[in-house]
Amino acid sequence: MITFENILIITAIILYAISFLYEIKKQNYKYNFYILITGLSMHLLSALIRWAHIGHPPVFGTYEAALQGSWFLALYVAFSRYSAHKYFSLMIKTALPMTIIILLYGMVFFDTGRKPLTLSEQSIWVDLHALFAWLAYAPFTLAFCLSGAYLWRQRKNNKITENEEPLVAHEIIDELSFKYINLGFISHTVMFMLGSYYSSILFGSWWQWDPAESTSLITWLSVALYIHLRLFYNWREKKAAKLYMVIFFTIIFSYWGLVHLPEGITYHVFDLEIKPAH
Amino acid sequence: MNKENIDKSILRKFWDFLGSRNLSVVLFATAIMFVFILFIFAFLMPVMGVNKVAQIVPLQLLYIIFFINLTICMIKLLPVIIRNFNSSKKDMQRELDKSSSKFKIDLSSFDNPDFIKYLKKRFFKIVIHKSDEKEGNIKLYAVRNRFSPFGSLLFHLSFFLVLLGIITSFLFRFEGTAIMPENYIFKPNTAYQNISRGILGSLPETSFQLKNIIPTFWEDKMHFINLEANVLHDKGESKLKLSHATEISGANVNIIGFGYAPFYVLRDKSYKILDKNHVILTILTPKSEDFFQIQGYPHKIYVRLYPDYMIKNGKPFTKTMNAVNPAYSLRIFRNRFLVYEGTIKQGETADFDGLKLSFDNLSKWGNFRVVNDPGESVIWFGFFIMALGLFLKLGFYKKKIFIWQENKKIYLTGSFDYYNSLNEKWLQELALKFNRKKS
Repeated sequence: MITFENILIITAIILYAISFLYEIKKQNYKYNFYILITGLSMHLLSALIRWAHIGHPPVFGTYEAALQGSWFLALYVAFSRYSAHKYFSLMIKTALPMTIIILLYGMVFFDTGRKPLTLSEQSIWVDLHALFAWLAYAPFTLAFCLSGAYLWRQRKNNKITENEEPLVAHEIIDELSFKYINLGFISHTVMFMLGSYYSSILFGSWWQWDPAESTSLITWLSVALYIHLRLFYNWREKKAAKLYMVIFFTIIFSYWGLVHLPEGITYHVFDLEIKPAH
Repeated sequence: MNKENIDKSILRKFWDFLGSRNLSVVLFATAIMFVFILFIFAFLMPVMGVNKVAQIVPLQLLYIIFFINLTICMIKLLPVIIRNFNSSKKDMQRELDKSSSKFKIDLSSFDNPDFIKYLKKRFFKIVIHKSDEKEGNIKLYAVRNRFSPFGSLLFHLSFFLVLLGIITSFLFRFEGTAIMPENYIFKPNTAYQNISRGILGSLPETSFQLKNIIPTFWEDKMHFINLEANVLHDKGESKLKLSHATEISGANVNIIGFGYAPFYVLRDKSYKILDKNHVILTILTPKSEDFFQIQGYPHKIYVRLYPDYMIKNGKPFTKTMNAVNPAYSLRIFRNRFLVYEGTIKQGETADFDGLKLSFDNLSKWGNFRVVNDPGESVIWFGFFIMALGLFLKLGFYKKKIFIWQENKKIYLTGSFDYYNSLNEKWLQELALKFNRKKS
């Protein structure tokens, strides 16, 4: 059934696509930021309408996760106009396609219907946990896009003759990528802590070796390893970009991959329905 | 070299190895591998089993080496952090000596008080400020986020707090679960069916009376949208939930399970009551069957519940999940022989072997978890310190800005914990802005 919420989200996808295509055609197109902001507003409005209908923040289930993940990613792209304005164009070219892919993935492959929350999901702590999860996911994805752009442009630069100017300042893309990784790491850590706190309320224990917690810990350890290698072993630019491309697969798996595991395994520790016990 | 010196040198090398970054990196890689193995285990066994695997000796050894490595790294790091924190005049000279290897931005002139204002607005602390251009003595040294180096220390120290919390939990933790029907009084000495406690963990004084349990189902399906247990205790009345722990006499109590507990009455032919009691059964999920036995009788009584009974296509059916019109499908066996099969409503009797069985009431039961863990608050404090450390170190990294005069020219440079190229760009833009202002 086509609802106003769906129309808004489809409009947002179209606006993101227009913004991306304009940037490809005309670099630094002056109205591109406004197109992006309009898309973001539509996206937000759609999420708010859903929130009003279901009575809780739309952060549960893969469709709602896609809704949040893509919104935060687009928001970071828009923010990059101020935090890294010279590279706003690069962000649009690399991260906006990801935003569209995530949204389409959630819409096409998963149920967009509204379901009430399980008892374990009815807590402000889960909402905060989810908020920080997406606050971490967006910069992690931006860092992936930048690392990819770095490697791609470096390959291209190698083919440029000596007289030609290089396409971009490599170190800056590399540092921007590191900046986003750090931001993601801080949010991921806070997400971890909030999850642990809520786990202690729900299960009486702050840590369980559940698949969701394990993959999340693998991500955390991998990013911590990346930061250590970068700071103490001077792994920069090409080496760091390649390493991060590998690490990002653990991030993708912990955010999107768990639902594809065989049935019967707890997908998420908080997706718990109360069961009668004997 | 004598033997004592050789021994000392070996010890020194061993100490260096234990506190080396190489070991840290190896530990990271090993930890990732181990967590991945535990992730695989999570597919093969329940979470409780994986929790036990996580406590095996090789992993404990990994934790011990991790804390040794962390301790030695911190000991080595502390003087560096303190030196980095002190923003003295010497600090500036040291940085300027290094400046040949750094970028230098040419400032056409520098006596712009706006620049100082700009820096102060952005929380820079002005350590040195001299602006006597004629005498060739222009100096500015400003620093922001001076406390940032302590972030690293706080972050790594927080692991010790978490460890302390884990040890406290190991020693003093108490966890118990109890299943009981409505109106039952929970007494600490008799109520628990399962208990796990640390070596020094004591039984909490928690006691309450379960007044009632109120479930709310979504569209009459087996999906709760709310579940509350109202309890009375010495400080009044409280609501217990799954997603919210309620503190009663120093312990956290949650309701973690729920079901129906029919009240059976067994009579003889002359309607004399032989036995009566609540029986806790797992019959909430539609079509699920559970059984019970009455002490002194050989019968096994299998029960299926229809909380809101009706007949649909000639078969028993439940309209909703609420206990509005309960009925029970029974199969009663004496040894292996089926002696009764049929459906009875509340108050009706099932006759078998000269006995009469009826269900006179349908109560609810709840499964309650009581946890008293003094280690948890230490762990939360550790987590708070960890987050604070990360914010300080990565979010508010240290920035130093220097301006100095050399051969009648004024230069601007900076030193940053991270993102040197990005900050160089920022300083170039800043110089452009203030030079333009001046002109």
